Amino acid sequence: MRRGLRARGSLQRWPRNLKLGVGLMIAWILVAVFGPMLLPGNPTTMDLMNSLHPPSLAFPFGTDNLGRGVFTRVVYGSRIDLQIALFCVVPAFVIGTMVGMSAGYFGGTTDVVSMRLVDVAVAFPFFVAVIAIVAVLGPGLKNMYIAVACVGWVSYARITRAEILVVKQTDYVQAARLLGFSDRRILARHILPNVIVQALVYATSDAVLDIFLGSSLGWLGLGAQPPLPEWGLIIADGYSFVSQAPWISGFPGLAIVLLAVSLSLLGDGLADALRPELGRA
Amino acid sequence: MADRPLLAVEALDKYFPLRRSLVAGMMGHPRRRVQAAKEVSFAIGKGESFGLVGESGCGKTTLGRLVLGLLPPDGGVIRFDGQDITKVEPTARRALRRQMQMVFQDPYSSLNPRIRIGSAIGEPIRLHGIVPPDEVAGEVARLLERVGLPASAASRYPSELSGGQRQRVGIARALSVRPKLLVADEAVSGLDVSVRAQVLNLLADLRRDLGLTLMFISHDLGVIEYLCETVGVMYLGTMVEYGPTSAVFARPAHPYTRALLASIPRADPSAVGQETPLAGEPPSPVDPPSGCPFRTRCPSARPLCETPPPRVMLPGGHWAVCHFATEVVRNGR
Repeated sequence: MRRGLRARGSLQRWPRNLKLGVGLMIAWILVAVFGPMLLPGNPTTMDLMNSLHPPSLAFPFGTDNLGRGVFTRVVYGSRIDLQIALFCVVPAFVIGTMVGMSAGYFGGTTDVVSMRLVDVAVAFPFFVAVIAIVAVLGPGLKNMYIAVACVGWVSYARITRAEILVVKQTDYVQAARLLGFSDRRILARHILPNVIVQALVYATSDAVLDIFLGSSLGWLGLGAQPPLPEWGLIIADGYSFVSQAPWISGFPGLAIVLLAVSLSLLGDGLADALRPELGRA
Repeated sequence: MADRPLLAVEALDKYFPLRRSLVAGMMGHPRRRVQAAKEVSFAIGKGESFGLVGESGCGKTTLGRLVLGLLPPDGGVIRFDGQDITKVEPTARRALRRQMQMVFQDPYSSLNPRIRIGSAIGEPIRLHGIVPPDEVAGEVARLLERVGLPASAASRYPSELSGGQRQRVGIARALSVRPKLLVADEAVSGLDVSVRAQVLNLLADLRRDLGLTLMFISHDLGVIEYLCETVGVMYLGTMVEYGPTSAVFARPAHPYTRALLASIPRADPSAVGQETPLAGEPPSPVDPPSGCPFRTRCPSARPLCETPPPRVMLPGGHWAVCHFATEVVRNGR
């Protein structure tokens, strides 16, 4: 019994994957915030004399065909890709959980209407829908965020609704109702903390997908526009030189993988830590 | 008006409609429904302990939820302290709700895993202003001690407690708003036998000390005999027998009650085989038998049982819904 009491808030009792995930994400945020300030170079200045330079002390990740340091570009790119993860996930998360919550808790017409909307949105494959919307709105990161918000919320709505349907039936929610608590209090204090975990865990893997999406759209020319050092764009730039200068595409690719792993660890760790029955075995 | 019952239920009906297919709906087939409560009437006096017994699926849990206002009835009247609670305004209902609380069957799902015991009990106290805000913690400690838990349990999470301890917390939470009526739905069925007796004794003590009125729902006749002064027997959504526990147990007037009593295992070898145990499953509540609902399983069913049986009044406030109630009592054990 006593051991469980210390569990909450104590760093030592965090699951290992959570510690690792949080640590890596903090590292990424530090890189994104301070990295560009510490680097002497500029990610967009061309230096044709030094093009296609292999990795060296002066250029740790080598240079691309226009002589720009790949390391500098990847570090600057972390700002863009973290921003993509954040701006794609947060609106979808907020809209989706709110829709799912009201659909699940109140049921009836609210449920029917919102779930038919979800069905419509799900009928299109995610990537196809996003690409179609971006193609209509015009290429660029802002339009990509809008497109993801339009399509991405449905998964959160479904997850939250399903969880609410379960939790709504539990005796502790019935008890809260009997004790005369208002719907708002029951939802916010007694239901939400028990259903948000699933959505939160999903959000971390969704962020990975969104980074891949951002990179893919960048590669297709629909997302970030050159000369922005977005990782997908850098990979696209290095694509023609991949046999001569594999470092141009390789290092930003590695960065994507590493960020994806960090987010996955964070998600796994959160899932372990926030499920009370699992987190404190 | 001292004799006015705390809770009076009159002719209460509840049906759960079954989903019918779109085609059946368009073809004009009638909507099928489950009969969960049909013309149920009973009363519980102030401070009384009433037991509701029946097989699973007979509608005893539904009846509990109807009384508590967790489900809307389809007909009938529920009077709490003389007020018809099926017709009160939502605001007045909140105040009424406070006076009726429930102890749940499953001690694992009845407590929110993310809320500490102290706030689970303290939140309703604070919200309803039961005591001044600075005395809430003291009140929580007092309640915990009242149900036999250390005051230090307030800082624990439910996952740190055993089933019996959780059930005590559930009782303390129900008592936190100082209710008049406590509905316990199979409150001890989920507990180990050793813990069950402790929790039963706790409920009996609380009732005596706080003057609580108790509605105890159980399939366990032994528990009801121990705890309850009056008992109601449910079968397929109807109450087939009602009366003082001693009278019902000594002189059952409905063949179903007799069969239930006969099914209690007894440590008396000479008692074996005196009564026919209940055969078969209860009929579907979607499509209950006409007339007496029990006639399909009744060992003494006769042609008359195809007509609805009357409520036969017996001495001492005891009644049974059977054409042959007086005969059953006479031929009893």
